[in-house]
Amino acid sequence: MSSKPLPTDQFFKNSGLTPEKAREIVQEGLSGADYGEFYHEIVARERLVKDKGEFTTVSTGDSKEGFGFRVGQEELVGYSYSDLFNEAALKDAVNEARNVLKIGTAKAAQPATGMVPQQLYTPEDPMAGFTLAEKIAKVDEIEAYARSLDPRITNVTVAYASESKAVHIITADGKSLIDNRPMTSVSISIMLTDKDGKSEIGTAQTGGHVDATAVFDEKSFKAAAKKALHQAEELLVAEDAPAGIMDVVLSPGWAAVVLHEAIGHGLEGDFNRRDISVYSGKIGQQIASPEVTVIDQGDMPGERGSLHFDDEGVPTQQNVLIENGVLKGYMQDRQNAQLMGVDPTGNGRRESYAHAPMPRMTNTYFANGTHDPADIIKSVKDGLYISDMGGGQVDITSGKFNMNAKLAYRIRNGKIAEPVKGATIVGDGLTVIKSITMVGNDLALEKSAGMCGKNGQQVPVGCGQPTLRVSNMTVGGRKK
Amino acid sequence: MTTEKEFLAAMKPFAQSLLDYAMTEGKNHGITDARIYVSASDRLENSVEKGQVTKTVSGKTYNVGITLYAGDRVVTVTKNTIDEQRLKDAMLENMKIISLVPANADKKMLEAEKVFKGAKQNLDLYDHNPPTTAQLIQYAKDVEAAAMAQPGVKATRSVSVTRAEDHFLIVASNGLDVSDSRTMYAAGASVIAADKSGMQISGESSMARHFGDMAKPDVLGAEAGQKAISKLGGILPATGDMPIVLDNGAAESFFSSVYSAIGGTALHRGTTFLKGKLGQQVMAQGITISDDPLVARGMSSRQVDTAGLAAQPITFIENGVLKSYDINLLESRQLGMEPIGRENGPTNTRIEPGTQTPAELIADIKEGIYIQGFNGGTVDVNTGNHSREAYGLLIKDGKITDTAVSGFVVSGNLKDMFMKVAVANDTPVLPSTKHRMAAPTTRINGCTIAGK
Repeated sequence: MSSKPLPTDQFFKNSGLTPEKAREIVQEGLSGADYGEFYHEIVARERLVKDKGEFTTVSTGDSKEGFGFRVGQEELVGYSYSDLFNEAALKDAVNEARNVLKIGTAKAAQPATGMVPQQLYTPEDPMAGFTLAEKIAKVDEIEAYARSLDPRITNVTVAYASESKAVHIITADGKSLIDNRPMTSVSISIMLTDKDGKSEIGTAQTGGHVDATAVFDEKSFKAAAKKALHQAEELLVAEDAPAGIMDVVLSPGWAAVVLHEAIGHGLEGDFNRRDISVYSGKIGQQIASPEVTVIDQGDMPGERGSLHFDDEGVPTQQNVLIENGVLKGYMQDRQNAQLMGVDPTGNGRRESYAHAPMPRMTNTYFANGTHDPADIIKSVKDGLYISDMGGGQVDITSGKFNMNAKLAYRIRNGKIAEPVKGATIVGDGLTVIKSITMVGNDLALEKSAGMCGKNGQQVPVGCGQPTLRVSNMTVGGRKK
Repeated sequence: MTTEKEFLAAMKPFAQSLLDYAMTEGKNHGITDARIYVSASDRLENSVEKGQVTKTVSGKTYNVGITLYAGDRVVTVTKNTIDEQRLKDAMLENMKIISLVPANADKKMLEAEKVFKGAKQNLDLYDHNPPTTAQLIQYAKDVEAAAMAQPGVKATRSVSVTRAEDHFLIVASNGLDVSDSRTMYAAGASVIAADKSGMQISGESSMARHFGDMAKPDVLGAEAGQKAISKLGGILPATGDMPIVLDNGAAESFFSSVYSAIGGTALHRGTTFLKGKLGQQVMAQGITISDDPLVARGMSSRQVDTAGLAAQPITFIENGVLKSYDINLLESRQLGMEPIGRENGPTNTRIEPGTQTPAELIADIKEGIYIQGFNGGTVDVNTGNHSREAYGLLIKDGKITDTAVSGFVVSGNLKDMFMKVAVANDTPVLPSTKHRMAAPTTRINGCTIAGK
């Protein structure tokens, strides 16, 4: 299906500016620059939180809007933003940003390239389908359902949040690109207390690039509630994880946050342009086993990190980063692409109008391999199966990362055994990717959970993988 | 630059007009109370690379937060606009729906008799003699040059200096009427060192309310470079139980877990191992954690919290005994406790110094690790589980060696770790240009190190 262009009206309300006048100022402001753009966004949000039987947050009608103007010349970048949008504010921003430029050295600015013609997500207002009273009733219903699942439940927290983000970008050639980006979620936390008074909390969420109808759907919130309960139940009986080096099997889906941290960040263009990533200068080299193919792809319908175009107006696409173990390329924004002499890849992203874009991931995943997941587990004599991964971080220069495995299971003689908790997985990306010895055929992508932070900017990302076996990982637990 | 006087001249009548509208129009919709928060911020960041400015980011933003109360029903709306009509329209929308909001008596506005009414104290948070942009840029260039001058430093990931200015005011129907203006300077250097063992990144930062209080740029740059160099060639230590000693920065990171454990959210949900422990020994003797919101030029100083309560010095932990939880107004009501004047959380926190020097604290350790930083990981205050990746130097025969270690995990349970903490006498003075929380060199016995 192809999408019809969205109107620019909402961006110019109360501004005293016309789209034509804005394009003229922007084009003029980008004269002599290598790259740059005008970025305007209007964000509306609402949030309901029910905790311990009471609504602790009822927030509706929140909004945040503003624009940023960026101008760049080789490695020089000027960026100026304001939440007030009118002719004087735009001209001020242009002048402020242009201060950084050197005069008379520029090439022609990179032109706009349009947008992905598919509809990857709905352009409609994600909050519109329900009245506030209906949303409150839904949160009540979700909470009541979760509470009914087990008599040992001592608390349920339900948080509903929805956001619409309308984006208008004017690129160097005076083209306007408009996108509506919805994001809606329901998160459910369940606290379970046993007869000794010991308690554990399980958490699960549903949602992503969707509207409220999707998260209030009975099937999806019930599945999330059951998942949260199952996690709490298992944590309640889990023992402390062991410490030491062992073979690890990562479950399909969200466990790919390891890929995101340990490998993905190191393949972002800014670090490699400056030669400070462990992957710098390794294009064309065999850095992993031939079973390993890694892709970042921003044009997947319905996925969390998908965009019709990135925050510089470059259409998203499929970028093969590692193919059969060979490093193929990096993720680029306009600036780093130009400085490295390659094309931008649709990975220029920013948190908001108050931030300049940089290379970021969209949906990053390991492509399917050939192994049956059951065979992968069978192949491990004594190891760890990580079912519920938490979050983590990476040091892109040394490649060292740490990940918190919220819930895992021992694997003994090829069989999943008792649950363990509190494991931290550490390692370095280059070693880990070489240690992936088996890749399953059950690829799954996570739609609801991923938020990625870089230089203080948060953006939603998708990640995914099939079942993977990684040999000899360092596991930090408390049990000797 | 806007002075506090200019900000108030422009924004006070605006805020008052919004409040008047809330209370007069609100009468038709059952509104009993209202609160208006207005802030304005201004930011300029300059990054330098190879002696030239490579990036400037500048911007101005406003924020208006409106809270409407109809008896026990509360709605909030936040918009980053100062368009009065749009804000009034948003208020009207919220007035129309407030009757739908489930009642929660704990969310009521602060009682009028508890609202701070005293004279304004000058905490000196606004720098009236700001540096020029050229001076800020020169500072960043000097930081970069000093970092690059360290032998072994290969490149910088980023060197930047930021100047920010924030103003805010609150007016509310319970008589709350406060405002403040603050400047903030921050500089950071993220530096990469390299040798045949590979590359390592580290850095150092400085922040202050007054530019003149910032760390000297050559010192800051040199420290950033040295920190990256000291990580080179890091090895994975052996797995085992051993004492760890945390430097001031790592100790600050460790002690911040105390706030998660005594925080009102976890307490109300019953998800902290310190619930029901008020007045009990929860940390080792000799550990005192105090919090002073009235430090002149402090990074977290404030005379009144945003709920309207006077902010006064508090001792959270005294000689290891839990004296106060960290709760806001809502949590104080949920828990049936007195509010503590920390609506926005702890302010300028100090771990009071012990009696031993750092060298004495380390002297009897045959084998241990001196930790210079944690890289994430998990701290779960429900179960007490502590599992964090760290890096630092080996300790051998009572001395810190120059053998770098990294990639290991420090595991333990906070319940035990808190009882085994011992501190040296080197608590930094507040305001500190490096630390929001001032913590001394800290030793913890019996942690599990997961290495090779």
